[in-house]
Amino acid sequence: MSPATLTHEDIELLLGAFVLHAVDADEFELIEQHLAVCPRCSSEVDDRNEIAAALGNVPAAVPEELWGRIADQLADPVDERGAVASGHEQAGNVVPLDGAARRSRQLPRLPRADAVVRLSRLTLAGVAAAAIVLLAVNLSSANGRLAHEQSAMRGQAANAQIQAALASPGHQVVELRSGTNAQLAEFVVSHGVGYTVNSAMPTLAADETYQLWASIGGQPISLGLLGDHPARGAAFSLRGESGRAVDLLVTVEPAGGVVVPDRAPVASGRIIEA
Amino acid sequence: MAQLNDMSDAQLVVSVARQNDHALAEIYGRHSRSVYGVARKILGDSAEAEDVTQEIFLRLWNNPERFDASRASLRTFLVVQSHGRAVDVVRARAARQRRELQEARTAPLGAYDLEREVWDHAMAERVTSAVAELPDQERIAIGLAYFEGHTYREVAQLLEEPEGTVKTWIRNGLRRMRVALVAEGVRT
Repeated sequence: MSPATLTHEDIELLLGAFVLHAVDADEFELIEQHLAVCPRCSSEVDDRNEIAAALGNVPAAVPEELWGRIADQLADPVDERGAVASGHEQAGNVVPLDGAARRSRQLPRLPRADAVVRLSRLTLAGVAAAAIVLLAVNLSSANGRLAHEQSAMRGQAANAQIQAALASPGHQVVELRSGTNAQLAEFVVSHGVGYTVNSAMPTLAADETYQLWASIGGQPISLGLLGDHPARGAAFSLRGESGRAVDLLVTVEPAGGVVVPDRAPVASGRIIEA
Repeated sequence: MAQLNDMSDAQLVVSVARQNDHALAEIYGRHSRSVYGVARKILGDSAEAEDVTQEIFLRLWNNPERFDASRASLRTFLVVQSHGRAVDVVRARAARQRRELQEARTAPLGAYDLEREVWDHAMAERVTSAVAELPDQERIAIGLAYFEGHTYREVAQLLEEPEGTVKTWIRNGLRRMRVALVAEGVRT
């Protein structure tokens, strides 16, 4: 059956598989759309999520260094009184992070006695974290979940989003070109959200993916995976400092993506943050 | 001002929305073992599970508004997210997935033991009991989908059953588990 023809009864039958993340990407999106307008199904999903979480709640000791990795990537925090810790402007307008201040800032203490309290590290991850502050990239759209969003936004929904972005005041269109100046992809960015308008990038092998990066000062930040064949409508988030130039890069990586690219980009383009 | 360790999960998320990284650290202390545990269970790889855990907590940091306390507990929200992301990673391993599918086709499905997968749960006895009460086909279908990352279509192929039958097994199995777990007072 084509997912486009799913009825309420079809979706009801799929709710169990949905909460186990066992539906296809196109069905996933259709069900999410249905849940937004169907309290009955939404209630069932909420209820079954509790059961799925009980099934999957298999606590395990977490490597001690993991919190340090996470804390290194947090955007400018505030202290207990709500003041910005480093004296920068409030979130919304993300400002460059003072590297020295960042390096001397103590990471928040973990609540458990056996947790490791660490000072922020002078690592590549720390440098990347500073770049993340510059952009305030929305990591929720990064990596694998983007694959669902790609499929989901195909067709009319994708066109509607793209047309809305193109009609929006202040939108920008950026062309990504190869080293030989051939246009490989076109994105539109509006109010911090970008969409793939079209792509001429060739289909990759099944164990490879295109990965989209934002680069400032040579520091790459992953914006997500575009899959082996970038689809029209693939969305990403890009919010940064007004007026700053951001290079968008696309690399070919192993299917799960990488944290730091070590391959030359196959396409690139520049956008100025509105 | 209330101490962080006295605050509810929902209050902590509000603090996270105000960019209080100490609140995120408190949430991490309360729930990271569960977030990491389910990812490691699905992925069977500690490094990938760490990446998933990192991503889930950064998602909460960047988009705390996505948590709706009226719909689920924070632990449920985080564990469900971690499971979904781990399944994404599993499916991205296209070559490995094909190999596993092939292996699964030749493996005796009767040997699959979902009960073994939940032994480490804090409420292991009750959850295992609820799982054990499921009819075999429902237990196997849920296990293949949840812990192996297969879609229901793949489960149907593996079990050589119609897709509609598998969808029903999964839905009914979860319903049965709910009845059993709610009766035991289990909440995540």
